[in-house]
Amino acid sequence: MEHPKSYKTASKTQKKLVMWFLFCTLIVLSLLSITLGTYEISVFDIYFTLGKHLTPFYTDVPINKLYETIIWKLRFPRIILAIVVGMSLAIAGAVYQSVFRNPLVEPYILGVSSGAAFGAALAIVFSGLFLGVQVMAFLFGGLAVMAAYYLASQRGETPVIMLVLSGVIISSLFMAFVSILKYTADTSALREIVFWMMGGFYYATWEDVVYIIPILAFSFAILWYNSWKLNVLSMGDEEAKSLGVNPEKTKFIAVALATLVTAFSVSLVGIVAWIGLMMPHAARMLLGPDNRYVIPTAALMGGTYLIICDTIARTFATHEIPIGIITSIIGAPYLCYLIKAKGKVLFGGA
Amino acid sequence: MLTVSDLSFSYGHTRVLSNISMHVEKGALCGLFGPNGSGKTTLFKCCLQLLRHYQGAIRIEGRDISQLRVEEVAKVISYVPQEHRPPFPYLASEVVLMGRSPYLGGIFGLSKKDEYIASDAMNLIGISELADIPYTTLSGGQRQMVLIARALAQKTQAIFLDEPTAALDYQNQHLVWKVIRDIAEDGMTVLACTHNPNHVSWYCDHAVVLGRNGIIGTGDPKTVMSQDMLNQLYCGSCAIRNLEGIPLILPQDVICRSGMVKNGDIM
Repeated sequence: MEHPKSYKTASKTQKKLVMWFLFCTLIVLSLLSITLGTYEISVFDIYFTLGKHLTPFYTDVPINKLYETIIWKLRFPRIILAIVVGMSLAIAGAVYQSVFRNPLVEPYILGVSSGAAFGAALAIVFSGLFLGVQVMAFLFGGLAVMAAYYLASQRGETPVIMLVLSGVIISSLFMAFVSILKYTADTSALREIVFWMMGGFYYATWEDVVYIIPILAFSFAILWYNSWKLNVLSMGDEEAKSLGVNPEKTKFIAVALATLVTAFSVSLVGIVAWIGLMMPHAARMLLGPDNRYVIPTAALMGGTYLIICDTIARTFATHEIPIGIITSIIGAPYLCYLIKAKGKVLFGGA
Repeated sequence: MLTVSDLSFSYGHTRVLSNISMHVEKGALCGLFGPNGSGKTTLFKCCLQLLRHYQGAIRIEGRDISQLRVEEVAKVISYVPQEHRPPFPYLASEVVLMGRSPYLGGIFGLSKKDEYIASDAMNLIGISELADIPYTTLSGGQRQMVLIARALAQKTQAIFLDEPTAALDYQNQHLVWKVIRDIAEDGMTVLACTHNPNHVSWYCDHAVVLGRNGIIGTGDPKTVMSQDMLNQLYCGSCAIRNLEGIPLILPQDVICRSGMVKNGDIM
């Protein structure tokens, strides 16, 4: 047999170094992002306000109430939320791509975004009648995925092709429902629905952050623990079985947790496109396809990417730009580049 | 070692296997031979517990394997599928390491020991130099070898190969069979299904021939791979010739064209 030229691959140590580097980038960018904003505050005042909250020092020093509100109640939770949502979507993307054995899958494929959009639209149009927008979005997002999963399962098995099909069916059904609501909604409600669907961190509060962080931490831990099984699963159900990995059990855990974090993210900030598709790719390009590295790396990159996008969203123009627009405008050229330059290796085509 | 008794299986209303019984000795290289649609793959999948709702019993060393959980089956039988291209470019060494998945344990999953076993398996069949190459960029023969190494890393009592040489060029077919032969010589029980009657008579210790209505021959390939059996399967389109003691199964029309037919009679 002929031997193709040998490839240079990163060693374990190199991979760990790359992950530490990404972690530091994330921290530095967050600290940079907090200094940017429409209201000018001196860098010293910003870090002083932050330091007062995050460290046990300066507790008795009086603080400017306005700065307190802008830095601690607006910008800081917003940055944390951007990181957490970026991480959630990136992890969910990596997991979905492995389960679906397809690098072009994104976390919305089973209908979580359309379900959530319908839930949100219901809450907006009939405000006061149902629960709040976030709760409704979460409930219907979860409901849509459950429906798709149930539709796809036959005799205890859930073939990937059936999952894709039922995801498409459920998504278009819920999008049709959303259209009905849009059609009947009055102008202000319509505007609100459209804005919700483009995504944004305008209303980020500490409350959101406190809810989503433990959920993300829990899901991340379980998914990372199962990351090797996800590698095996991406070889196909039968092969996974013969390698001692129960495909149905692993698939169910993976889809359930990835959906949980996605539904939470979508319910808090609306539909943010591209993160779940792009970040796992970028992670794979850096460190190879082993999910033990892809999942944490994609998470770090997702957080970083969303901080950059959200900082642009809130500082670029006098009015806020919906985040979905920015992630797409930056994301599309990146993916074009990926397909042109690395398509062969990345997508396994010959 | 492997005993199949009275195995029957239907897909819906289509009966694919009925009352199949066979036995494979420990350390034997058994060739499972039969035309398309004879149920080879179904028999395989039943033995591997990939298909569960069959009638009859499949035992390995006396243990009924239908009682075992997925991880436990994977510690007893390993499976070498036909080579394929997965969607992600895992390195060959990572694909081999997947053979250690039945032994996953603890928070850290795979240990250093698992990595040694995987690299040993690659060493054993002489493909260590492929370790750092993405599996998706390997040639078909190389991918098949990586999958065999993965099965070895699984440290099972038996290895099942599904048409291991179906998609390979002539040289690689024999390279792969030689490796399979070596594995059996080391004491592993091997069951390989194939379309090529020559491979059965050249490489296997034991042959099981599946016809359209169940098993039509089982035992030593020298006796099983007879003209009678070939006539039954291929309606007289093949004949056996002997080349210095090695049986050679040839298509009838090739024999006719080359004038190997002496005095008009077919041996």
